[in-house]
Amino acid sequence: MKALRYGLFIGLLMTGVMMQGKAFAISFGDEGNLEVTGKIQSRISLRTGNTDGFTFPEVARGNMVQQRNLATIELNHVLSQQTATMPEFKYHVKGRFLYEGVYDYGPEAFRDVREANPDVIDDFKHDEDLWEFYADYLKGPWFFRVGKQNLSWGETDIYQLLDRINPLDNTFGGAFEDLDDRRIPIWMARGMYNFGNIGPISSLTLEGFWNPGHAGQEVAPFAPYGSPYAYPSPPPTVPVRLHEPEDTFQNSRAGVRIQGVIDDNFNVALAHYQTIMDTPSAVVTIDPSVPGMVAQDLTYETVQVTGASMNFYEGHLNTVFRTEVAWFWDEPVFIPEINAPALFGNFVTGEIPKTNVLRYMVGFDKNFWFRLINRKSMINMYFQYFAEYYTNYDERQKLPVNRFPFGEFMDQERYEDKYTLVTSTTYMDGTLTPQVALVYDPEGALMYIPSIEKSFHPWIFKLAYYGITGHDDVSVGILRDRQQVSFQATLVF
Amino acid sequence: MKKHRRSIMVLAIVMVLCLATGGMAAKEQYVDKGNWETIKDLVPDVVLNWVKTGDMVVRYSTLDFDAGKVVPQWVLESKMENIGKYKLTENKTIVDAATGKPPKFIKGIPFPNVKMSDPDGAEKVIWNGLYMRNANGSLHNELEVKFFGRKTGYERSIWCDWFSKPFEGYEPARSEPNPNNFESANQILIKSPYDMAGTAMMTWRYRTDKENMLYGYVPAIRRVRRLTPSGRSDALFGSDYAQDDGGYVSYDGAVNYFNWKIIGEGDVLGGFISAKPTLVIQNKAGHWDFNFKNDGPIQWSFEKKREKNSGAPWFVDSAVWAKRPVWIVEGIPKDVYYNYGRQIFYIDKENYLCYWKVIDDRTGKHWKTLWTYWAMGQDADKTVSWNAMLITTILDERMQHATAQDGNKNYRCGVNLNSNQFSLAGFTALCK
Repeated sequence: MKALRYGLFIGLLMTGVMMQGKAFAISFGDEGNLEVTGKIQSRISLRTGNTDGFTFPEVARGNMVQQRNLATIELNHVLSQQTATMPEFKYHVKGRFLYEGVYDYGPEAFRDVREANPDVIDDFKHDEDLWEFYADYLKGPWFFRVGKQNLSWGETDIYQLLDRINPLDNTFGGAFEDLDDRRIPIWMARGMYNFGNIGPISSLTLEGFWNPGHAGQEVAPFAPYGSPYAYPSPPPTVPVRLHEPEDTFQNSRAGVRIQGVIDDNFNVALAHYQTIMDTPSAVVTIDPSVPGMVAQDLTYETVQVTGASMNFYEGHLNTVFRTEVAWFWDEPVFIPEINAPALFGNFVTGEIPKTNVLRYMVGFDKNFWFRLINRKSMINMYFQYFAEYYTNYDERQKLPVNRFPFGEFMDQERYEDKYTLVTSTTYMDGTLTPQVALVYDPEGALMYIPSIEKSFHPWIFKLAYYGITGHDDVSVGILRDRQQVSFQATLVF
Repeated sequence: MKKHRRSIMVLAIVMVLCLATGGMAAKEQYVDKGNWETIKDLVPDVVLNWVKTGDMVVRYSTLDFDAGKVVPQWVLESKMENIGKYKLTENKTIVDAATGKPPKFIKGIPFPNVKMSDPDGAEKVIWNGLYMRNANGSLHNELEVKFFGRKTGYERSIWCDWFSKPFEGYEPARSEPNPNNFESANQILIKSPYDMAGTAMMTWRYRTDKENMLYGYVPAIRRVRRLTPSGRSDALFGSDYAQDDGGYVSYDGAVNYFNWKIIGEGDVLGGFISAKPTLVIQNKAGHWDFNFKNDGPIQWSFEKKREKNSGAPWFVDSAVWAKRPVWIVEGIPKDVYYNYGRQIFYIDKENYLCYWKVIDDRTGKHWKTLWTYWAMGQDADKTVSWNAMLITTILDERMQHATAQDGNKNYRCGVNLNSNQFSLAGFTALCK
């Protein structure tokens, strides 16, 4: 099996090299066309700080913490092109091959982690999957997409409000990975109908999706203890049991959205959907069947989200403003006295408390000339302010993450906010892209990611530094000893 | 006597043949650094310098057709019907001359009789050029965007699909519902290379002086996103092009964003893919495909297929250059942040297609030059005509780097595109 995996990867690499960066395309004229494209990518990340706090295993500065090899091959086939009278049929297939090498040839500490937990680590360190597979049908105002796919709603980047439809894979790279690379496609049926102009609203569109819950739900994989991107925590003292959602209709992911353009400027959308939380909720269970009679149960809970988004262009400022608001109904929270009463001497099984949470974002996108540093391309700036507010806040509410060194749970404030800023431009005919991304928590933590990407067609190289500074018990600061530098090489065809 | 007559006849035939072949010989010639004076005053000064230095070899020819008449039928009709029918407002939008109100539909080009003395003459020339793309109907082109360097030669390509749907100018669009008051809507979708594939952009142009509406789709965020229309002079996909460099008149922005002036008229050499009309064939779906089989292969300089008569890598050696009457129009952006300074356009007086655009930077120094090789399409019966902006090249003189949009793989006019494709929902469906 291992040989087969390496064979597939080498085969893909050779294919990429032989295709010399060119997509493979066959045109059938009016009957459509077929294209094959893909990428082969390898990424190595080295930790730039020494391990601190509850991070396990200890890894010295300069050691490898990631060696991710990824290959995707994609086939797009348009069977018939849409015209005023003809429908369009097309399908898309994407295969993904992933292999994380740090557990096999990385630092000894990670090889030991694998040996201690081979089944779990081996399960997520490699993957050969039919990653996306969907068929599209378009006819007039109707659009249907059925199959394994991603769907993203809303206006936000980096943090998700209305964009929680697909689960995220946090087992490799975690917050240091691009959001889209972490999305896990799920099987769903999705449809749209364009009503056209109704009253003051143009392009009024109703959209819906359904990911059946009774056919096996895909959930966000949980980064196990000892993996490089797991949250720092003391070693578990009781058995940890992960429970995936039951196969029931009630556990479906499903939603509707209506959107349109008002006054030829304001893009407005209203949405409601049900999804499954990416972070499982923890309770301490009293169970006589386990040694010690105590276990930690992690369950993936469903949550209903209602929200709206809007963007508009303001001509005087040459700026696009974006905003989004989402109301999370009965979102699971963590109150140690309720989730884990055993910790307080009350030996009963805990429960999952829930409360409504309001989250919103206000942001803007602006392109501007700064000819002192770039005469040919504009500087792109994307700014966002995020906030969350727990309506029925309980003073005992905590984050299920332990503070070093005594292990008490970190505080969950009633109102929390963060700022994000991404700035980039391009040089050398679009082949050189420097970028700086910042995430700032006013409670005292900053994540900063300067990066530079250069393409020598068909190769693309990227160097990025992931720096974190501030308190180790504040949002992004929790990972402050995970600072790393990453180098990535990609071959595209 | 009979013998004498025969001799005279033979002599006459020989003379006619000599004249005929002499005429053919005179019809086409290569102009290079050895005989550059031949085209002095027929190309912009910067272009003449290319010829003098050997960068450009001009295949100077005449056309076997009247380029002013090989245009869509409704353009020809509008040249008669639209005389004096429309005028411009103070804000340079088009209104009905009689009522002062926006017209419901404009057929062909709005201002067929531009006069140099007309204070709005330059704006009218630009409007006509903008309407020429509309008049060529809905387009679906497969574009290869080629990148070139002086030292590197051909560097790489980006492959795109281009869709454009007019709601004006194109006679069959008259009956099309237009509740959003669009002038046109267009989409560009990048198909390759993989790191850019899926990136898409949609523009709604309004019939009023309203800002264009721009949407973008970036696969990395998997979302249709509103874009600012302020970046129209920003480098497009990192190329030497700016978004405003597009269109049949080599300008794709709003007319009232610039101060325009006709600064001259005369003859220049215009680029054509062939001296003959390119064959257009109606396919089963009723769309018109450009078929280049009679035009011969398109030969780029970088391919080095010729031992001589070849120049810098960004030229098309097989193209022909023919003398055409033009308006010389100056455009100066009103926006102080616009990346270009003065631009000079050389626009055909009869068909309003642009042959050359010379671009200065904001300090007044020459920066870029843009030129187009047109394919003038005609069906076998010579009853249906279409115009294709087949290959457009822009050269950054300072960087000695060029980008070309090459549509010769698949250029289709008069496509029966569905309006829903240009709605928000339709754009989302186009994306991954």
